[in-house]
Amino acid sequence: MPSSESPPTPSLSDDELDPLVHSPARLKILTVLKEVERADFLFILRHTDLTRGNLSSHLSKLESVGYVTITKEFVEKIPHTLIQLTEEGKTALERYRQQMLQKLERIK
Amino acid sequence: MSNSTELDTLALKVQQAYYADGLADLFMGFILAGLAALFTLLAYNIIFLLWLFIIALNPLIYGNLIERAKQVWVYPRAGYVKPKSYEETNTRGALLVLAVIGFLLLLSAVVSFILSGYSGLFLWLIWLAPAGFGLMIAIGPLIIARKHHLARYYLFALLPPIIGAIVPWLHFSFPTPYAAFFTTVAIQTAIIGLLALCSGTFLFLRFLHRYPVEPIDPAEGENPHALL
Repeated sequence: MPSSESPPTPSLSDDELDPLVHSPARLKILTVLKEVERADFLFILRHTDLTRGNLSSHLSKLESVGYVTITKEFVEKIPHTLIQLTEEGKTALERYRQQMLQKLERIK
Repeated sequence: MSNSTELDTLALKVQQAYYADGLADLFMGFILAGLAALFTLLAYNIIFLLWLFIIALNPLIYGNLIERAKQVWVYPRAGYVKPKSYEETNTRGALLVLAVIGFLLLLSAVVSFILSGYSGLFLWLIWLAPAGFGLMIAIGPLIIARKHHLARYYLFALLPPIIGAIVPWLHFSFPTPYAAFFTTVAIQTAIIGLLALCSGTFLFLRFLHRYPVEPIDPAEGENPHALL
């Protein structure tokens, strides 16, 4: 997985759903990361039921807009690829959640 | 879009993930069952001091042991996760509750002694102290139950005070009031320890069955944990 500089998060109107979050696979990934401090690739793989290639691709997209950080670290002398949700990612997820709740309210 | 119920279920599963392998239950069970067994063998007061020491240092001692066990058994199979830390308010709240219960317990002992001397104190030891202690040791499991939404930890939290309240009513005959108190603590410890061993064993075996060791992916060059 390439680590890259984070380009700025695309600006969206209030009503516009963030396409980076509005995807079943990425929504699952962000949901998993929101509940933990950080997790490795295998943990996310196990909880999202995605394929390795799929997960890798989605993580790259999320990293490219700064929603997650991906680092290789040693935990007790064993290397892990660790993924963590950034503040931007938390904000994006929370904004998406609020937008969906508002849309559901309008339908009601 | 993913169903919101599925996402809630996923979030819950992730919150419970750290305890899903059963290792925490196993370690807790071994320690508690071991302590309970020691109560029957050695001098009560020495074992009780050891019990207090181990319970107080629990998070530190077995936190490190569990982490090492996870390195071997869990991370190669289900991946590494670092749960969110306990919020400071929760920890302070828990310590405050512990302090209040401890204070009330001591106060009741002093009042019993003032009112009826040693016989009052002995009654306190038999009837109040075990339930009070049960409340104090319930705090740890209760915090875990609330944070990780684990039903069995609510049980681990509820049982000690209940057992502490019930045992005196069974009218076992003890040589001294101290023996009554320590025996009740031993029963509390034994029951929770055995339950934790059972749940831990079941969960751990289920975990091993569900999550085979992930093979090393040559493209990623990962999973150096695959030791087993």
